[in-house]
This record gives sequence, C-alpha cells and structure tokens, in this order.
Amino acid sequence: MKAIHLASIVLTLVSFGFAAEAAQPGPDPAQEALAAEAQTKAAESSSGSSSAISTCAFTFSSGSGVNSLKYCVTANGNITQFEAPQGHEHIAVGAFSEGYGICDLNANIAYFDYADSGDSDNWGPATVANQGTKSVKIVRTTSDGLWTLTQTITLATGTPPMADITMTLKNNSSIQKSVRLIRFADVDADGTFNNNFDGTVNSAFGWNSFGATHAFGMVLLNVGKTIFAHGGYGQNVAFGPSPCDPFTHTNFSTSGGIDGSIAHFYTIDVAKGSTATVKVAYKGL
Amino acid sequence: MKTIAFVLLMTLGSLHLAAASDAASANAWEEAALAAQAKAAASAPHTPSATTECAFPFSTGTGNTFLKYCVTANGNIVQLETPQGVEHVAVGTIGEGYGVCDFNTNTGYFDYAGFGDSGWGPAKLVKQTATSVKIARTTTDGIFTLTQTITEVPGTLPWIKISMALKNNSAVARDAFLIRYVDVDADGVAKNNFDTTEDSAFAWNSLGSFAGFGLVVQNVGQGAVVINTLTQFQAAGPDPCNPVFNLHLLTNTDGSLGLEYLVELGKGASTTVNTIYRGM
Repeated sequence: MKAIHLASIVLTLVSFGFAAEAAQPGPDPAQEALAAEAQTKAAESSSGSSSAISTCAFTFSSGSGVNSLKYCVTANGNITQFEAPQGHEHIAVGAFSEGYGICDLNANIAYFDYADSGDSDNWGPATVANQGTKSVKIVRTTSDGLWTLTQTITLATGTPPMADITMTLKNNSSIQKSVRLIRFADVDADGTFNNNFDGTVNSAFGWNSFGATHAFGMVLLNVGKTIFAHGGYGQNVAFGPSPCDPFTHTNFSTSGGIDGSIAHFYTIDVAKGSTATVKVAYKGL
Repeated sequence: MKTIAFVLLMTLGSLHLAAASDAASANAWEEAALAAQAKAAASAPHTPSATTECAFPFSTGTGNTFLKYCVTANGNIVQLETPQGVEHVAVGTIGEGYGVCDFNTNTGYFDYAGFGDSGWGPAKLVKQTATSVKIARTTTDGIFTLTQTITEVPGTLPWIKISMALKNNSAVARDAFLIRYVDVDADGVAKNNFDTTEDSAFAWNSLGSFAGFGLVVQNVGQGAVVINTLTQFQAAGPDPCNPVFNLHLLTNTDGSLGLEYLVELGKGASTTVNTIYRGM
C-alpha cells in the first residue's frame, strides 16, 4: 500500500514541478549478497558458547500501521527480531545480532552476549524472574560470579510504541568497581544490509534514506535521567563491540551505505554489593 | 546535561579535540550560516502577523527528561529545548511552522515564523490548558481553516504532539499538501546532519562533535493519505507548492526538515494529521 502511495505522490510531485534530486536506486543486489555472506561468516567464526542463541522465546506486539511494533526476546535477553512499523524488519535479517556487553574496567575482563554475533562464554545460565503480557524479566550472572545483570524488557505501547530495556547491573564482589555497560544491535534496516549509521549523546540509529527504497530504520535511545557518562554511536561492522575496546569500529560520525551496527555505552562506578540501573529503548525511525 | 556531555567527551578522549584552527574555521562558518539565515528571512514575504514572539510556554522534566518549548499566537514552535540546556530552534533566525498548497489553484499559504508568512488571517485561541494549546486560523481567502492542537507529552522520553486538522471550507472538493517545517540548529549549531525515512525527518550532530544532540519530527497519525519527508539544503521554509527537497543524507549543512502530507478534502470536510517532535 505504501509503495502505491509513494508512487502516486512522486507522480504528483512531478506534475507540480517539484524540484527534487533523482531518487537513489534501491540496494545493490550484489552488495547485499556480499554483506549477507560476510555476516554469516562472521557469525560462524565469532567466539561463542553453546548458550549463545537467537531463538525467539518471548514475543510482544502492539499497534497498527505506522504505530505498530513487534519484537522477540531470547531466553538470554537478546532482542533478535524487531519489526516497526508492520512489515519492516530491522534485526532478524542475516545474522540476528543484538545484546549486551560488560567490561570490568578494574580487571579488564569482558562479558558479552550478542546472540548470533557470539558470546564471551563466561555467563551463567539465564533465568526468567518474571513474565507478563507486556514484559519479561531475565536475570543472568557471570560465571565468575562477579556481576549479575537483570534485564526487564517492556513493551511501551503508544504513538509510537517502543521496546524499553531496563538493565540493572549488580557488583557482587567485595570491592567498588568501574564498569562499561553496552547495548548493541546489528541493524539491517527494512531487511537490507547496507544502511546509514550515526549516534548522538542520547541516541544511536541505523536507517535508509527516503530517496532509496526500504526507507525505514530504528533508533536505540537512552531513556530517563542518566548520571553516568554515556553516548550512542554507529559501527562500521555488523558484529558487536568488544566491551573493553568498544570504539575500534567507529569514528563517531555519519557513515553511509555500510553493513554496520549501533551501540550505546555507559561508564559506571558500582560500589561493592550495589547496583546501577540504566534504561534504553528501541523504536522505529 | 552539558556536564554529562562534557564527561562523555572527556571519556572519549583525544579523538574529539579539535585543533584551534578548526575551531576558528567552524566559528566563521557558523557566523556565515547565521548571516545567510538572516538574509533569507529578509527576502521572504512577511505580513505584520508573522511573529517569533513566545505566547504559550510549556516545560516538563529535568536534566535528560527535560523538554521546554514555546508556541506563538500563530501556532509556531519558536523555542524547543531538550534535554536541558540543548536548544534546537531558537538559534539565529527562528523558523518553524506550517504550509498548505491548494492543488486546485496552485496557491500556497504558509507561516514559518522568522522566515515569513503568506495568505493567513488572524489566529484565534480556541483553548488553553497547562499542557496544551489549540489555535485555529483561516486563510485570507476563506478556503481553508487549520486548527492546531499542540500538546506536551511528559515522561522519560518527553515529546511534543502536533495535531493539525485542515478543513476545506469551500463548496468544491480539494486536494492539498499540508507541511510541517522546522529549521533545526541542533544544540545551537547551524551546521548539522539531515536525513529522512518514510516516517521521520531528523537533524543531528554526531557524538564526535561538541554538540552531539538532535531533533526528530515523526509522523504518528493514520489520517493522512500519504506523507513525504523533507530535508532541505536551506534553513528557510519551503514554498508549499514548490518545495526543493533533498533525498539523500546531508552532512555539515545549515538545513531544515519537515513532513509533507497529502490531504484529500471533500467540500466542507476536514482531515487530521499527527506529528511529533522529540530529541534524539
């Protein structure tokens, strides 16, 4: 329907003499095939344990038309499917990569689980603490017992709807620690691999421009009052950042036409036995 | 918020330290951009009604959840600050507002605040509450009435909802473009990045800059037949019947953005579209 409307509007614009640049072509099939193959190879060669999964366990949906959202959460708390609006999928394309990472800055030890992009093989099993029609709460402790990450992923209905993710990180050790907490998504906007990427202090986003086909995207937002140093950025790779070296694949500026990804980082001091909470959200763009 | 941004930039370290010569160059560019804005505004048509004077201020939240904006008597949003300390509209020449193109006659009506106006009668305040203002305005030829309801939506991600109901007062069916436009100068900087998707138009500065914030305007309504999303190479508002718009990613540009709705109106009928502004 939207394509028909778009065609009609373009014709109308032309008839009224509107001055616009020539529309960009759609995604290059050859480039898309190369990107798909690269994602598959990267996923196959990524570090990971048998517990790294992209299988949908908890599905949520809301709204209709431009205000629709559907997403899916794995048993480990990864969002491996994100469709907004209806018919426009941004994550479940090629390798399904989304998730979380931690760097214990005192010990320089990384813990991560990025679904198809692999995990660090140092997480314990995830447990479901609570499940409702609009949310799921998942708890997971690192295998060395030093950190526990509790995620509550909630469907925030509205115009537009969002997937809210509250991440509470507990320092189980007997000393204060500094930590970097990362949320990451391999965005393949509207089913295409090569997209635009960038970030601000409060957002990281991947999208296709209106002049091309598949002109949709998604944004990862910092939500609420955040007292920690943080920021969003785009990566020029489709796999997740190393939590202890997270800026290797970004130049903190706009990148166009690449198979990239988005991330938001927080740098936090956590007292012994204490917790720190950050909140992010995904929504369509 | 500025403190957080500063800490962030310090965390990122030397990657973001601009050389003094680059800073001087950027300042010169900013001055030139603001001068160009003023020149463009001076050359645009203006009636005595065009104003950038704040009439209805709204604010909610603190820090990162802070949103403050101001609406003129004519229904333009001439100040928009989110999060706290980060202004996106009240910079240089202030441009925000609405435009209508009547397909039947190819007549344009617009009010872009500092970037001029054309074809509108006096605005009438219909209703005012602590969180919203409703303003109605009819074109001088009496053909269209635009009723805007601008509402503050508080929360952890606050936004502004703009509901625009366009009524065809004439005795014949009409098709029209209805445009919402804003000259974004993200975080007080004239030179920003701009792009659009099918549902959103957005302007921002990358995290690697010293002003890593932005603003998105997004369609959230089902009422319009179709939308077009706009980015422009210019800060001034578009000719409603002949907008020069860009289809690609723009970087380091003093541009503007907007949403364009195609509205089909039977005689005496009205259609409502819903747009939001939110920080990014």
